[in-house]
Amino acid sequence: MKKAFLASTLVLTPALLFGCSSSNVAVEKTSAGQKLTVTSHADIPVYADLAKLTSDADAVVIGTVSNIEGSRNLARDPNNPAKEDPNILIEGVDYRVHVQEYIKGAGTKSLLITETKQKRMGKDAPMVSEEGYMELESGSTYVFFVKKSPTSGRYYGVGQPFIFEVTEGQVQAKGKNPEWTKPFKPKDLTTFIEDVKSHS
Amino acid sequence: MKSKKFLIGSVILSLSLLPTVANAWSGTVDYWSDISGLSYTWGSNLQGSSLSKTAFQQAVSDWNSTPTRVYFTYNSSSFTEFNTECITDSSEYGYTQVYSLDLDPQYFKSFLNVCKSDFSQTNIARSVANHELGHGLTLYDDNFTSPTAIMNQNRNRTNVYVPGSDDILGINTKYPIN
Repeated sequence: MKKAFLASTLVLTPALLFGCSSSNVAVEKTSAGQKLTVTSHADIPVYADLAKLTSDADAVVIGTVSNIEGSRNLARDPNNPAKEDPNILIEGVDYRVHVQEYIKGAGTKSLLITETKQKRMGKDAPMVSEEGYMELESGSTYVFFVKKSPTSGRYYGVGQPFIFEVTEGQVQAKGKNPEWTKPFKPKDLTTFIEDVKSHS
Repeated sequence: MKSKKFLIGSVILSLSLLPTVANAWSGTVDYWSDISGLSYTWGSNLQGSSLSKTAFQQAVSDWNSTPTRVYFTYNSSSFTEFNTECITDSSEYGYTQVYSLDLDPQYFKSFLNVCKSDFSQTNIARSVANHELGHGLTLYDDNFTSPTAIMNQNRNRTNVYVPGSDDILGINTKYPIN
């Protein structure tokens, strides 16, 4: 009985009204007038110091965002990762970044950095925004702490925080969750680069 | 008059001395009506035996062994589901989505990311499974309060793979034993 109730309220009458509220939470109204809340939590590495953040990254780059190259489904078929998962959508956004300097590692002058933007865990499930997603502005310069994907050749964040904005010679951690950025005090770019190199 | 000022001063001082650390259970508003009979079933990718299924089984046993009211039981028709997913180009080890009606959790879905590069290293899958079940129990991430907390995303996943005292305190604060 309870299962039938759940099926009718949560599955068969999806997404009537409301739409998304804050990041990592989707709020909808069911046909019965109840508020359906879907809260998404991910277990990602969160860093408290520059030394570990640097050592875990394959590359640390200073680069300027030029444009969004596209978006794609990061959820793959577990039995054949070359194929997309047919039911789950985990939208990844690829940013084209022109590299000014590799503080750690080496690579091309232009690369793609992927951020996870939102998730939908089934064809009828609500889309939930990713708490860690930061929309990057074209023309802005950032320091990225990234890993290189062995499958796509693209780069993605090593954990949180992994984007540091460079503005007027100052470097500041970016992130919607202040708990992630709090351990990293703003620094001037020269000192920041020296600190990263000392941990590379 | 003097005693009134003293009282106000004492209250302000007391408030200023309260811990400012946000624990995994503080600020959470969603509560299970009963955490001693939470059912679960296996998702489509966990029908056979696998490292991930073992990790979830260990996590169920780990949480059931804690001195709390938590008790998970298998039920093939449960809406709560444990499963795996393959997420490429992401640092995610796993994730959980909790479905609530008017802030009352109804069920949750937890996934382990089998495509994370170090997923098969010792204890990591178990650590992630325990973390995800913690979210299913309505605990939130708690990154810097306790290094041994399973809800700490900054934890060493090889060494911290079962619920710690901070997690247990969180559950018992939200769901008192009696």
